[in-house]
Amino acid sequence: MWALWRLISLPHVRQHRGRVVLAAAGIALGVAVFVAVRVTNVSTLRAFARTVDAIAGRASLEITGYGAPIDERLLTVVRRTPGVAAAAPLVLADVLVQEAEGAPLLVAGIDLVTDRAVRDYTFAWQETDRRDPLALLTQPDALVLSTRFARRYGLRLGDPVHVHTAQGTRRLVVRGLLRPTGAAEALGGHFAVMDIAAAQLLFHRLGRLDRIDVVPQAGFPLDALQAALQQRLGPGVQVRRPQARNRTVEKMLRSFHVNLTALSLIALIVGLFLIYNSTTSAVVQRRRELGILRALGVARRRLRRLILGEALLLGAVGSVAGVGLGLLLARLALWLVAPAITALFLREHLDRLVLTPGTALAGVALGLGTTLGAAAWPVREALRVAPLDALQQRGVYTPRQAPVWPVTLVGLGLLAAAYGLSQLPPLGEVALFGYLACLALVLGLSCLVPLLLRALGVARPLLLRGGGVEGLLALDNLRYALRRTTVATAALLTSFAMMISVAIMIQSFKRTVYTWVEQTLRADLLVHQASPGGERSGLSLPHALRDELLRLDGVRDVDSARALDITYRGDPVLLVAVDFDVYARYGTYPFAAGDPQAAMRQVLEAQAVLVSENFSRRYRLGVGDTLVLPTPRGPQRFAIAGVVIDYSSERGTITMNRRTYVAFWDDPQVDAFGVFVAPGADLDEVAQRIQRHFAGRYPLYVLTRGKFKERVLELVAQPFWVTYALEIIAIAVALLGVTTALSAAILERTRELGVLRAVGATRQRLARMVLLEGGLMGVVGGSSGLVAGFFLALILIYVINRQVFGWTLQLTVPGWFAAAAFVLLVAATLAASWRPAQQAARVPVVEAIQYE
Amino acid sequence: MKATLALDQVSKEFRQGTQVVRAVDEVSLEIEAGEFVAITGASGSGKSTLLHLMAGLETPSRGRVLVAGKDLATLRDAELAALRLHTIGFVFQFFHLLPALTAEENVALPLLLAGVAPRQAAARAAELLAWVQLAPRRTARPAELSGGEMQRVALARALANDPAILLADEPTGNLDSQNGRLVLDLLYRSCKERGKTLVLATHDRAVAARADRVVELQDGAVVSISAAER
Repeated sequence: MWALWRLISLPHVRQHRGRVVLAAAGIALGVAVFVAVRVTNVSTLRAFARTVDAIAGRASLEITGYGAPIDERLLTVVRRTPGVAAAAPLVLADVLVQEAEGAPLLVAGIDLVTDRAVRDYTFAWQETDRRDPLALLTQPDALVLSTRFARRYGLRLGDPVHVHTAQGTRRLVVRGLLRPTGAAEALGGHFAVMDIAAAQLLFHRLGRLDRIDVVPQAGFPLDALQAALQQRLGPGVQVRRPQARNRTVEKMLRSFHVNLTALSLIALIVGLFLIYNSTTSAVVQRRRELGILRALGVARRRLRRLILGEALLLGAVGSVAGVGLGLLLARLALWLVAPAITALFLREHLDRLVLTPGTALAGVALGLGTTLGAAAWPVREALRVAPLDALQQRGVYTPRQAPVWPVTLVGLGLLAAAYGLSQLPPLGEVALFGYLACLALVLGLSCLVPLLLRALGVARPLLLRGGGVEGLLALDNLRYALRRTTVATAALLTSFAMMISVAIMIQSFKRTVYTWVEQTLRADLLVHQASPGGERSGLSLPHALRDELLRLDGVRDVDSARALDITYRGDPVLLVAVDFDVYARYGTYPFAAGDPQAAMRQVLEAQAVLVSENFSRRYRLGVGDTLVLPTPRGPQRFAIAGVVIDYSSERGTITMNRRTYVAFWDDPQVDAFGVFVAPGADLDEVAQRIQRHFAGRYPLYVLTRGKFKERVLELVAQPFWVTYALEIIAIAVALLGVTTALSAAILERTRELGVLRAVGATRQRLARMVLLEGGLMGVVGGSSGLVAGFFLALILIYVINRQVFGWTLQLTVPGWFAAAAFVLLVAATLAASWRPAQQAARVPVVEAIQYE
Repeated sequence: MKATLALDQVSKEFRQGTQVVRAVDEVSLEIEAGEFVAITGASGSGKSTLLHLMAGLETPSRGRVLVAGKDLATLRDAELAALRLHTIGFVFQFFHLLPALTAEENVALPLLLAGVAPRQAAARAAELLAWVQLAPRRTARPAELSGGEMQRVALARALANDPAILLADEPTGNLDSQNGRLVLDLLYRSCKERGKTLVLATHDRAVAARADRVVELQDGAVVSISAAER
């Protein structure tokens, strides 16, 4: 076997370096996309887990309120509970640091004496402060930054820093630095500590704590301790293991990750098409060589092993390169995804990529599997030819006019299967059958491509008139080399369909959300706390500011909104508190179920809530049902007064009156105020007046309703950028497919091209013929991709989106985008055909016509 | 009559590994309009290379090839293509028809390449197919035709643009005797009835016997030029 490798395979590879590299690049790209998505997904979750572990330290249990701080007196109860070795109180707050370009920082208020039993810190002090660091740290303005954060933003010991908090802007002083170990590693170093008493004062938590971390005595059963603590502390707090947060985050990100993984597999399918084409091309070129070998007595089985071995080696090189490329791509994806994840899901600092052996192995296995799967068929076909035929076939285009009906029937069957699969319910929370329906649809339509290409015969007179004899020949080449052109066209169809479907979904999503914001947002101005850079920050504001706002000139009314992540039946959901008495005066929600007037009244006057349509679908709850929510005052029952259209959260939203919310959560903060401007007042003037009034205390970001709607649309589109990046890669792989398919065609038709030159065709005309062939593939792949994309979008919107997010979206087709993308695709296909066109133009005439 | 095709001290060398092989050696020849010249010689004597040089498909290593007074070496690629399209028709031993096209489309191909309107091209192709006695087979594709039929289509294609010169490389070499005779008759009639200059490469003395002159090659060089034995 080695002799065959040395004599046959290696010279071939050496001779056709370009094509070998192209095929390996196709596999590498497919694997890279898969690896990049996996790495991004794992890195996101690992980063969060690292932060959870770093902050938790040695604590095995944590005690928190249900979306609200807990009474600090509980600390004594905890410490007295048998089995508790140590308990450390924590006050946690997010701030933005003005001197650090407005970077976010998680400040932990800790008890400097007891906290070391739970967490490890290594402080770095100034020489002068070494004498009594504790005294220094307990000063009310003392802040201890992580060394990483201080270095990143050029902050030194003794530097004053201005932090934006939910309670306004405060001046603190960097009194110490934390070496990058233990808790200081949390959030990529965006972590600081201060004395707990100072933190309680600074963040308005007097007498309250955000968390108590518990270290159990060695050997004490953890479950028993958890149960004992829960019993002693009552139902208003939750005792859980810190790692439970990881599971919550995993749930939050699951749909996002599943979507990305599904898209990455599509890129691999396109890669599969490419490998099929490059193997076909290699086999076609070597048919004569294979014929000679077989005539010399080399068994068919041995040749199969030889060529499949070559393909596997190529697959292995491509896959390993793909893993490396995937890491690079992950960095790009991280750059694209991180803002979306940070904005939508969690505030994590993704600065470390995690490539697990599992991911690398899965990538390589997928690459190898794809290569083998794609190479098997062309190799089988090549070895089926009798040795003598193979010897005579070099450079001769001998179309085997296989009937198209069998593959058409398969295609129709797959389309029927796609429809059937789309009707099935989700598997758990994963829309598995929806994704399979997408796959069946794409493969089904790909199977109809031969029929489509054959049917193009009706366009022959048209092409002859429009494209001359080159047009006619290009069309016939497509129609008579169906196997080769089908695969390349199907790759174009698949990748383009993905792009179009996602574009339709984004447009539908944007349009739906825009309409929803239009219907529900009644206030003229939206007031948020500003970041040091003057942008909108995620910091909350005290509800008490409402009275001050109401007293300003030009302000007619003010309502507020507060959003809180809570858990319902173990899942993360969004709780929104709104000043219903104000809101109801100006508008209402778009109701999906329930009587709007009665429901609004019920929410205002009783312990009732509105739930979003996706919440209602997910938990099968409707008007008249009752919800039991965990609150700081223990589990409480809330009647569902109505089901409303709401796109605030893909996890489901519960909306209640602020008065009801405060009664159970005792939360004085809001996320935003909605200001209703008096008739005749100028919006900009009122906005400036509001900012001036709070200047120095609260930097405010005031947006008009119109601007807010624009920002919402930007935010909605942001997470999808990464999908566009993946689709562009898939299209690039498909275009490589066009190049290899046309190159293979040139090899197959060497004699034909020679004859054309001999009867008077110029080099330019041959080049034009190949370009037209590529362009036609672009037109067929693109137009069928448009159709496939539309139906894929239907599945994405009405099946997957509904099953994963529970939302109803209004189907909106971005016509201009689709048209522009189609033109670009055809242009890109022409560009991809350029090299084969030059190849055709350079065919040596005499050599070509002398092939026998 | 003036020479429509002239070769002046033409040589063609090929490099095979480290060796230089002289396929055509100092050939000088003048062929006049309407003349039928047979090039004969054993296999490997340089017949096909000589025809390729005449068609501008190969460039001579030395010497000049003149077609209608034009030195082919001075022509650009597009001009050579135009020459092959309008002035020279080529008939190959292995027919070389495009398998995706029908017989009529194969014949119409040079016309379409020359910019003739599709309808006119089809009409001319039909007329030529009738002349080669293939009118009923005009919609057949090459795979549905016999060897003799394919060669007749190839001849019709070569005549499509009414070229002054017909070059035929072993046109009967792949045919049985009956079909070979039929094709040769058609080629002969093209020359004598239609006034084409016919240069035919063959190793078959009986075929060469119908030519006006027979040029015999040996190792690329002309060993004799004689009037055919009739």
